[in-house]
Amino acid sequence: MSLDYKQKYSFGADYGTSYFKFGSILCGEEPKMIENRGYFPRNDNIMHNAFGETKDIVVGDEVPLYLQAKEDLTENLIYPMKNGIIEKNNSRAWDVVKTISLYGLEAFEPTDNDFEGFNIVASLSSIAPRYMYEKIFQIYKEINKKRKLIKAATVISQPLSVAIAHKVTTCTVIESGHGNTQVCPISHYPIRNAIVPINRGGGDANSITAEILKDLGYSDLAREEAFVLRAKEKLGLIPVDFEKSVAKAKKHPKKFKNKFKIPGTRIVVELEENTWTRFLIGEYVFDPNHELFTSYFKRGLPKPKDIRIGDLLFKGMLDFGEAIIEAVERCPVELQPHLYRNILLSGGNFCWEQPSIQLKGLATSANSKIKLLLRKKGITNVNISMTNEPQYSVWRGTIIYGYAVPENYNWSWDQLEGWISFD
Amino acid sequence: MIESNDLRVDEYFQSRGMQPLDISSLGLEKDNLKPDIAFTDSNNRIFVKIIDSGALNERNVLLDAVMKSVDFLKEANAAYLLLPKLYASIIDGKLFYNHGVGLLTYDKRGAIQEIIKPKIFSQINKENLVKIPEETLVEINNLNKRIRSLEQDFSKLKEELDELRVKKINIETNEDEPKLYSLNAEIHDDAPEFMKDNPWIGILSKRGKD
Repeated sequence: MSLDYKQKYSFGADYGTSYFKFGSILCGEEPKMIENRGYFPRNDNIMHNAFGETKDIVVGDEVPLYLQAKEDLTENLIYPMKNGIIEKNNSRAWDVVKTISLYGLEAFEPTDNDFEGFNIVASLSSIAPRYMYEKIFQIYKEINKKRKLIKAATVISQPLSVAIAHKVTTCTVIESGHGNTQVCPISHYPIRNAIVPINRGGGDANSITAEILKDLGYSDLAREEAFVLRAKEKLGLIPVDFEKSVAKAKKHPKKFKNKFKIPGTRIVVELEENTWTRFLIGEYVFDPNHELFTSYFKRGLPKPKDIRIGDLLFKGMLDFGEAIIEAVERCPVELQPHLYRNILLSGGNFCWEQPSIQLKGLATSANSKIKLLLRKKGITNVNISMTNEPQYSVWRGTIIYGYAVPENYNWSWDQLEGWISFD
Repeated sequence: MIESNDLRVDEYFQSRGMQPLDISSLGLEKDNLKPDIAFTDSNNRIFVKIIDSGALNERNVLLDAVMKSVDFLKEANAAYLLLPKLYASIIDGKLFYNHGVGLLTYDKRGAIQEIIKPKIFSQINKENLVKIPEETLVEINNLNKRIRSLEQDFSKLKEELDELRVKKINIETNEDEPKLYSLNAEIHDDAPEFMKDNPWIGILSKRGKD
């Protein structure tokens, strides 16, 4: 595996909770993206009847062509990484991972004579258990049985990948995706025993947005995930001080007015007297412990639960400030100031529109909110930055990892790094 | 009666991308292997035997001509027999198909027409298409030797230059791990922004060695 070879055939695969981002080193700044999901068509499917299609699993842009009744989706549309972790025996989820992996590799398969397979770097959640690594390697081996697309493979954690992409060698990465959030201190290596996982992510922010829309009379629309996501992005505001911001909005609702129209439809959402609910969405992401949320839990909003996966406890209600402190305090004292000095926010759950200048002092950005949460707990000397194009950070890190790690460094199960060769 | 000189054979073959060959330079020792005229399309050598109408008045001339054309295939990739158009109708085509010989006819004005395509045989040595003089071969061998020697010198110089480059980087950075910096040095200006000046490249390139 020469340097020339790595410069042509390094391949990154980010198995995110919502999207699978993939591509070779030759992609440039951005990878290709498809939803991280697979559909198991039924035999009475329209495509099947019309064209005799016999696909077992459909992935990528073709999925909408096969979808049937809504009831069918729950059973047959599988998002394997929804919570960052796949159960060992969930064969359907693993089948989807295999299919999207093959889809990605085939999309970039070159015709050059010197191609002997990609050096693939897969990125998984930092809390992925060992069996997930084993399964990924097994899937790659199976892919190679039919056609040699992989020369060597390795797996790295998503927070490490983010740190690599952002050129920071000692930092705390908070990666918040659809299903969960991982707080991971890094000092040249991920500090595994300091990782704090939180069972709360963008999906939970969608849930409270749906409840707000129901209260406003948009019950039908609140069932459409795409609509709820759009509403969350357009309406959600991160409060500087939750109570003060809500009080102000209740007093002067027009100041916080923001109606939005869904492009291509006649649907216009207006909050009118309820503009204060915009702050519920932002606050819930960062700290869901305020008593105002209790009434929503009583009315059916699923409360983020503590769950145990393997040895790790995923707390549901831990606020992001507390989570950072918990993670950093598990590291050596000498290292702790460095970890606070470089906090990197990554993942779709931190993608918020910058609030308008009229809302200064009431609404803020994601990094300022984290700063405020830490200040409340006495941590002041912090520097928080948002990753550029957070959706691509992990993939970019995988490309650098594949390029730089020596080819003769064999995989180590103790270190969880190195290459497994498929030659 | 039309004479062979009046035939537009050259025109016919040249219009198909072929060039006439000088038969005397082909090194054909036996007379029975010498065609009346020969052409090449750079890959194949094509021999043509021309029969005029007078010759066909004698018995077995046609059969002899076909057999002679078959002999041509020892030195050529394809062979044609060229006859007056008048006689083409009385010839059994099987004779040509069986032996792979092509049949051309000419009319009173000397215009040529292909009646049967010949088989193209690939068994003859293409080196024989043009006889290379001995002194040219010696010169080519000498040139080959010189090129090999220059290639070896070039590889040595390239290796020395690479070593010098690595040493220079080490002196500038006061580091003694050439691999680390050579990886960074290999990142071109048109590489993605996230790869440029990335300290992780140095750190990761040491993995497995520390």
